[in-house]
Amino acid sequence: MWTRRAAALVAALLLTACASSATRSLPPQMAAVELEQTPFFAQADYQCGPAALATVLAASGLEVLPRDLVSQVYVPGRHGSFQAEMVAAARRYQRVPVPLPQTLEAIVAELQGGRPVLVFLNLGLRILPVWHYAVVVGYDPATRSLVLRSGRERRERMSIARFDAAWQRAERWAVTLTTAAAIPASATLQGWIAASAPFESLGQWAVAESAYRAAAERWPQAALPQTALGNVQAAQRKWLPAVAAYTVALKRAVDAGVLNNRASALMELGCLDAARSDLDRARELAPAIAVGVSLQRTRSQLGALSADGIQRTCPQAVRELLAQ
Amino acid sequence: MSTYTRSAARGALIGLLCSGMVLLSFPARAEIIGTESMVATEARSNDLATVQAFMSRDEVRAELQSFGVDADAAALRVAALSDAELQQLAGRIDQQPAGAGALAVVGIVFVVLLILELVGVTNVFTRI
Repeated sequence: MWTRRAAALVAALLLTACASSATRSLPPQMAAVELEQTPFFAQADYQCGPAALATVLAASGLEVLPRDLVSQVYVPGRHGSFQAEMVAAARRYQRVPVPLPQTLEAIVAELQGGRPVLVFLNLGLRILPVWHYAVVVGYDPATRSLVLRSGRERRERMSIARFDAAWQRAERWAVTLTTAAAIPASATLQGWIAASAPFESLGQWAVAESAYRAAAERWPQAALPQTALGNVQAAQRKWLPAVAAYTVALKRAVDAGVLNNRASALMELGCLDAARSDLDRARELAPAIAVGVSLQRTRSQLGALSADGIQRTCPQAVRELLAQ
Repeated sequence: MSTYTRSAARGALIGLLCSGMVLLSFPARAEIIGTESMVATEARSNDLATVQAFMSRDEVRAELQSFGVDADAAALRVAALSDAELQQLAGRIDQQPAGAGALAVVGIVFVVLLILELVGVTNVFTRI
């Protein structure tokens, strides 16, 4: 009796030990999933980058082939593709590349949301790396494995343990592509805005704006989406809507950078007094150096405008906005 | 050209451009802090970030070309990169991990990895 109990205890301990190493951070209740309709493009030579990227782009509803992507992501002298260029190329197709949290659970959650996941793996060793892009399309808890579109395999089955080791050696890099209107469940506000902001810097206002609008809906109390909306308006010199968005943001959280931007927009509208009061408020917030530099510039522009002798009147619409 | 002289030259040029920017104060143009720099994790001076991004664009374009990307494609590719992505690539194109897949494995590396594969350490050659 005593020995049987002891044996059972030892067996239980061993089993838990095995289970915890094999299912690293995957909760047992996650259901099996496989996105069978995800297309497959067998890779040519060293071109797993174009093949994997075409897979996730096509899965997001675009007609793209690996050969369309070779000139965008493949580097002949390195026989491969860089992560930075993979995400930049996704943006060229108006898809937002959202980095996932570095857990297996986040990958499976995306699959359950219907989106395949682009991953970076090191199939070799740290000292002898074999870098590889693949697309995770399925999870099977019964066999503790993942299904990938990988290399020349349409359905490569990889045990969770092996996947996790190869993924770990590539810093657990995983990205999902979405349209600007569909924020993935796992995304954080900061992460989503950071993934969308390059559209603004690259002059793709419409995509940036719809990503920011989606963020304003998902996080209705947050200031950041409103600030970002203001920035995208200001970048197109639509100063009145910019001031409106900054004003909403500032009601939620006072921030020196946002005050600087509103002051600039106000100046463009001819509202010099209101701009000055924003700059004074910003100075009291003891801003970071980078913001301080911008504030200094905005102030010197304000000084130049005030001294040029031109009579300006602040539009009624702006005064009403600020009085609200 | 050694990395040292290259980074020294880069430093000197950045310094030159920065001082130029301070001296030539541009006439009224709204100073909007963009969203990308608002959410950037590293807080840097805007001036420096702008100058660095400007320099990096040229540098990365030249490097891509030297690694076999044709000139027109290199220009388009660099134009598509965000500031953060540029910083990631600038000066590191030769060391950056480049995903190629298992088909890229050749020579002695192939032999070593094949042995490790047979003893179950790696997973490179499944079903090739």
